[in-house]
Amino acid sequence: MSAWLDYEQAPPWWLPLSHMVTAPCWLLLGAGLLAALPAGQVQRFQPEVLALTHLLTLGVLGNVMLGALWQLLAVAAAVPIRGPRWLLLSSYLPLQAGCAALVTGFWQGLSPGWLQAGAAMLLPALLSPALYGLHGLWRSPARDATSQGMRLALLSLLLTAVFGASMVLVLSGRLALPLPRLLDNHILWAAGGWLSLLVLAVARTVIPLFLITPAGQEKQVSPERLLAGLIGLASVSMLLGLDSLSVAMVLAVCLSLCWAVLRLLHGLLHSKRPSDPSRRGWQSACLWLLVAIGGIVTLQWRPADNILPVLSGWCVLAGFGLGAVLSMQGKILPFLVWLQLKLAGLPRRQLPATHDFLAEASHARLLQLHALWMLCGLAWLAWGKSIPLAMATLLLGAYWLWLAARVLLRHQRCLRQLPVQTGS
Amino acid sequence: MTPQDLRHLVPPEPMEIILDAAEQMQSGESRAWVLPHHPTPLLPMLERDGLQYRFELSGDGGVVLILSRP
Repeated sequence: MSAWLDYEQAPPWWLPLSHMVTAPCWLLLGAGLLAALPAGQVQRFQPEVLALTHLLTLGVLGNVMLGALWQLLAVAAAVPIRGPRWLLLSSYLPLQAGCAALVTGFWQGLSPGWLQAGAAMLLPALLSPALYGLHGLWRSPARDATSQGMRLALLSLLLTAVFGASMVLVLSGRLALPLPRLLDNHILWAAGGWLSLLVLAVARTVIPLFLITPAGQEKQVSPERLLAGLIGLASVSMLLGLDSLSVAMVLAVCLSLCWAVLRLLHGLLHSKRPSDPSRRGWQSACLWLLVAIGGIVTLQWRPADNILPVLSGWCVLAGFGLGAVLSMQGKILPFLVWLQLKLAGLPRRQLPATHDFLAEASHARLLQLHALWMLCGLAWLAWGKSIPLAMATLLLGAYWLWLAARVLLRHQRCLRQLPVQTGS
Repeated sequence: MTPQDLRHLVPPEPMEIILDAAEQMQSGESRAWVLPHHPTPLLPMLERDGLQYRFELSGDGGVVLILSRP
């Protein structure tokens, strides 16, 4: 079943775009932190590494994903975005403040005050879109794969936030629960659930339209549903402390994710736009995820390995997450602003083409910078030298911000050309 | 009416071309285009402008969109 599309429900342009322009700013901040990082081998639970991980997941990926979510909920799932100013206050602003507090808390060696302040702001920032979206999707007539994937992704976001907040309470001595089980669940729902399910759900709509891939056959059980079900079982077995079953379920999650990614790769191989930079970007993102899955599977037999969890995390978050996000942004961002201006009634001769907002060559350069950034990240994990990664982060963040700002400025110039509304 | 083939263009250029043409269509006029797939994102915009559409298969893997203004 194809996606339900209703442009009349689109949120005001400033809601998704606020998130999308803020994301590269966090990446620039990350460059500063990387430059200040003490030299030496990267450790999984090193406070600075935890700070950088949350900067990437909440500040960079979180912002883009929530921005995309507001747009998709409205346009692809017919969920009206009521009270966008309230959503900006209840989600966007606490997300930025909470992310800043949490990153400070980790950077300062797990400072309980900062971590609690961060969790207190992040809970409403993440729960409000999760509950708003789940409620809207429950009432929505849309039953296509993208809408179903969004339901599961939002449920995962809710659980990720709850497990994350519980960990902060445990670290602050306010709650007595086994930290490793909470941590495993937090990672499982964040990376396997929220990130992977949302990217796969959005890919279902975006890839066939922009890259002209063959429509996938609808299965009785969609890869997203299977993945979510297996994550649920893995989560329960982890919480109950059933170690052997947990390992088996994590392997099943990995297999299921592999199946979903291979389906995506198969579609991309048959794309009628073989030279589109977005296609190469998606392919790279999928390959990074496969490398990460290989790392996670190996980790089940080498649980004491120090580098594998960090390597897998880097490949999932930076390679797959940011890779997919940047591949999508090159298509969605110009289309979004073009569509908004078209619907607002900008005369045909004054409306630029989507490629005038963001050229394919600029998008290709952005994805090349992402590839360079990934390699510098691998060098950091291997040799502990963070300066090349800091430089690559600065380049990627600055170029991304420059492109986003150019799109936004062009959009503002076009808005000023809109005919003045009369009457009513 | 020979349909214009838009399959070689980068998405969403076909959508832009069709919407431009749709704006200029007079009442009773019809036009047709060959597209690489069913143009799902375009349809709500055509309906919003009061246009009528139907589809045929091009026979070589494409979809022919036939648009008319009542």
